[in-house]
Amino acid sequence: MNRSLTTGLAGLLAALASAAFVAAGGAATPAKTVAFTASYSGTANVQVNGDVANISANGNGTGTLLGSGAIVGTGTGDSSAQPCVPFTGPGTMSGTAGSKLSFTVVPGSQGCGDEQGQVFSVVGKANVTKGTGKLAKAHGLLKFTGVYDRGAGTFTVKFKGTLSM
Amino acid sequence: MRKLFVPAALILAAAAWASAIHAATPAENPFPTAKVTGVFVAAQTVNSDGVEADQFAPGSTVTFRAYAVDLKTRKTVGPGDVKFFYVAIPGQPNVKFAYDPKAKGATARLPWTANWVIPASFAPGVVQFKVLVKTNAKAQGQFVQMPVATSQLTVAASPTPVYTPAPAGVALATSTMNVSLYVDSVNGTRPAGAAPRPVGCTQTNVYKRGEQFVLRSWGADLTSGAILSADNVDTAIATIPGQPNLTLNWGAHGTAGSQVWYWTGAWNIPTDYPLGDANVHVVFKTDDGKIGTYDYKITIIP
Repeated sequence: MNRSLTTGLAGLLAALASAAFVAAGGAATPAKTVAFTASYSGTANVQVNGDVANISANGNGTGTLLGSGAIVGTGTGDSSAQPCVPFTGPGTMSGTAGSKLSFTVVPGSQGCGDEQGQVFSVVGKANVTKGTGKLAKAHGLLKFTGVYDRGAGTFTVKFKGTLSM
Repeated sequence: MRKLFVPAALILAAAAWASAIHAATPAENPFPTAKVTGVFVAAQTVNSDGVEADQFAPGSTVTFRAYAVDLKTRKTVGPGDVKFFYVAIPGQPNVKFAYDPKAKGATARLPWTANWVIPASFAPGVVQFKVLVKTNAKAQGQFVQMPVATSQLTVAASPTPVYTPAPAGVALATSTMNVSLYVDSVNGTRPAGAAPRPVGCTQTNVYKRGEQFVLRSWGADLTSGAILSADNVDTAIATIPGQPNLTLNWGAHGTAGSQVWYWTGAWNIPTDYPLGDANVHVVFKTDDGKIGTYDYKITIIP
């Protein structure tokens, strides 16, 4: 009886410990992080209305995890700030595999013009807030750098960083 | 045949469109190059008062001052380290550098100096000099000027005057460097509280209150040789006593079509800013955590 009880308790404790381990393991499973880079080029349209620059951009390129695809973004900037125009706004990067990353360009991002106000160095960070397809759980902060040619209405941009999946 | 032709035409059209986009957006052109190899070299020109200047009259003396860092050892190049270290000036004999931090025009940071007396007959115009160095370990490096005409060494019958006195030099930490920097400054063309100078964007380190101070910088990660750019720099700032931090921005400069990219930051000097020397402390932090610093002194005059 005692032995049976002991065995039963031991089994119960083992089961509880196992369950706790599984639960703890499930809760503590670290998010997988993957290095991410992407590069796009395309056209950008900037309409200045007063001190507000309304930005829309479309381009094509490629990104790790995404493959070949497109980038689309919109945003607003403060054109009264010279020579660097701060801007923010949402965007997406999508790939051939049907995956998509949605991001928001965060404050602190800016485009700095040359002396002629034609060639802008674009630098900032994009907060990836959600994804679709195999990137459904992706999130993280990416650094981006690029060039915007105001006269030609074209841009190139590169992203790099790590994403948690 | 027709089925084959149509997709091929589409592919060609797409490729042409893509290449047109790439051709239309100027590529970044880091100054002086995308990657430094051998020896990092930085040099400035100063006048007989020790003030940074770039316009000189025939018959006057240009003092070149420089420092160099061997990328392999990441240490500054000292007097026993060089096979040669000189200024090459078109049509002139080479002007050799000598190491003496206490020499006229030298600083602890820029301890190598070379003096060039401009011949009276020297043709006016920009002087495209180069500084060339080779170490005993056969590592080589060179310095060239940023291609912004008004900030380049120029011989002129009536040079634009610069103010005095020169600021005192500052010490260089001699420990191993991870990042090496070039720093200079030019007068901005849009001063908020003083009259613009006759020629904007000329090099100087003496400013009147109310003028616009424009710091220019480039540098290299000494581990990889990569030029510091927005791609690999996390933050680039200059601290100025009593002022908010000055953010340095990566961008294109110079004449359209031949622009180069480096770091700049403009500061409108308050009209009540304390007179005398001010230390501008430049700090670059790379994405992988390396730090590069440079103390650049300027003098503020009434």
